[in-house]
Amino acid sequence: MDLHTQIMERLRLKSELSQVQLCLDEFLASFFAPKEHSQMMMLFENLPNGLSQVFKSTLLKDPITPNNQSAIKKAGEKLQEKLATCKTIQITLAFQPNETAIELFSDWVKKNVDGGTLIDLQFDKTIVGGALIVSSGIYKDYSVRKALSNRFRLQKDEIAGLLS
Amino acid sequence: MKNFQFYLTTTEEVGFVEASNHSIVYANGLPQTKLQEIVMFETGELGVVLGLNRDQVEILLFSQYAVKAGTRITRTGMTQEMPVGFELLGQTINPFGHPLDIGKTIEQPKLARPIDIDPSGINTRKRITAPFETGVTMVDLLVPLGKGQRQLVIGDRKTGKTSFLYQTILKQAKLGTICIYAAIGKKKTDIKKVENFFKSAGISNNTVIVAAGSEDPAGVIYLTPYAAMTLAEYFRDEGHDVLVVMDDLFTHAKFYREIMLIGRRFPGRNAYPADIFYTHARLLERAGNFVLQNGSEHSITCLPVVESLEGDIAGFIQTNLMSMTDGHLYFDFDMFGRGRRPAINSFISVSRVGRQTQTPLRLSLHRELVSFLTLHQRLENFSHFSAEAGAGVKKTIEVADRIFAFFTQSATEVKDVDLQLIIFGLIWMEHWQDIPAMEQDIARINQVYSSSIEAQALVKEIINISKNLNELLLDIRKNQDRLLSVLGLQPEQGVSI
Repeated sequence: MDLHTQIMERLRLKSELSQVQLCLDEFLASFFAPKEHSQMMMLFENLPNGLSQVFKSTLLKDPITPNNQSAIKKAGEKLQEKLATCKTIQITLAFQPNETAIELFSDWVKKNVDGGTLIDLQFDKTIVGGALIVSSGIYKDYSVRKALSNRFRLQKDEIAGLLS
Repeated sequence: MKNFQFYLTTTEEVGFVEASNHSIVYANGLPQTKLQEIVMFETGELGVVLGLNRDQVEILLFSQYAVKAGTRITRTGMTQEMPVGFELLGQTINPFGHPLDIGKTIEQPKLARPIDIDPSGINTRKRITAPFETGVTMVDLLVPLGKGQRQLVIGDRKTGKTSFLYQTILKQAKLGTICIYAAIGKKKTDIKKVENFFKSAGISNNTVIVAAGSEDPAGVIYLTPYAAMTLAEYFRDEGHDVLVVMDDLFTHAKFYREIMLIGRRFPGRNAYPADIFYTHARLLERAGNFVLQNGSEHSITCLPVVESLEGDIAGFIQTNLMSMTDGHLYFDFDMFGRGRRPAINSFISVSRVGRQTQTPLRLSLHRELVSFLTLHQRLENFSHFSAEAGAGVKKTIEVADRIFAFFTQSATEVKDVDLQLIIFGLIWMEHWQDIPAMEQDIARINQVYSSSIEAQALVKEIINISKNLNELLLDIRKNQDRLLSVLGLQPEQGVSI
């Protein structure tokens, strides 16, 4: 399994992807000059735990020498490019979902949409309930706010009569 | 227009700003948008889809405020439209039909028309046959125009182009033509001046100013002449003759170049985009003389203005416009310096269709006048070399001086062509020898003529029976005493004719 697939398997949210991209940027910025094995290991250790494990298992198959450092850099850059084109689905909810809910959403998206798709979670309590979903430029409003406003529009006179 | 949320829930399409470069915005999303569609930003700004790439939509922003990356955009499903209606008469509006003065409200027309349409085909057009009076004697006699003609007004800065446009609008508005003045990237003070002129001349009810100031976004300035033309087409379809003044297309070309260069289009000559000719040609092609569905004939006469630099009329945009119009009036800086008003160089100016609209009398006079002025120019050049000119040469120069004095008129003065033919006849017959006396008399004639029905009737009668210049001179002679009397002159005031 390649580096990109392994990372994507662990990612669920767009915010997580942003963190990975930030770490990756810092990691790649350190390749300005050839380094010793110990120094390289320090760079890997500085990465967050999960990321460090994936990087080590994929990129540290051979001992690091000043010659093969460019291969690691190239792999990192390739990963950076792939992550930049990652698809996202924006879901706006009326509540802050807990970890279980996030896990549930992510599993569903990966299973039913695309394994490489992440969720961009947004929070907006004005939608009251339900969700707003944006994917590939398509906007779908499944919110309670919309349902209520439709209801109010259609039954405006009736509701006004009840209130008066 | 509705708000962002309305369009978002209606079209169910959204995009996000990825990058912004001055007036051009690049966004992702909006999968089903199409070219020329109006899009709305969540901040309320509008834009139009300028280009579609594989992953991005290129949008021309109609706002001077930059949009931030990540801003949401939605489709509106509408193309660029301009509200049209008689409610706009007397108003100064931007290309979206909103009043230019902040805080001013106007009654919004219920109808709207797309701004950028293809010009109508040959089957809807008819030969230009009706004369178009500008009220400027020199133009009406030497470079006559026809209704539906596209006549370029070209000249350096400060050569009297705007005065000529004022005079033409004044004359035409008084004749009942609806006049639309498109101020393209002009200073706000200049737009206000035009507005004040229309008000003070009492022609506001027949005029509309479609304006975009120099500080407006490039996209809005670019749309101005198209909006003006759309409005003109509406009034034409409602059964009116329309005059559109586009002041000026050189500025329009420069703003279009700016947009296209920011949009990374390949630059052509003078860095203008390759389609600059097409852009202007399809705009000017919307003017002409048209036959409406009910069989009536109505025209859109167009006076595009272009500024020349240092008297160079061979510039790229200038020659482009010359080739797509039916003639041009060249305002000469040197002539302006010599005190000629209007400073039109009649030898360089051309009217390709105007002559076909003229009566035999006007044509005859035109031929005589052109031939005389050509002779005068030759003699004037010759007289520079000789210390003593012959009597014939001196006389020609004297007559020419009187003719140029006759052509001179102030910026707010418009004249009736028929009366000018009579006055020209009097000059040709050497009724006046002294120029100041002649100018005084002409001023009196113009004053009397405008208020005397008898004078108007007699002038019309003489003009109608004369088929050429010789006949006109004979008729003037025949009616000498009566004519001079109704025109407020006593026969003994000048030399007997």
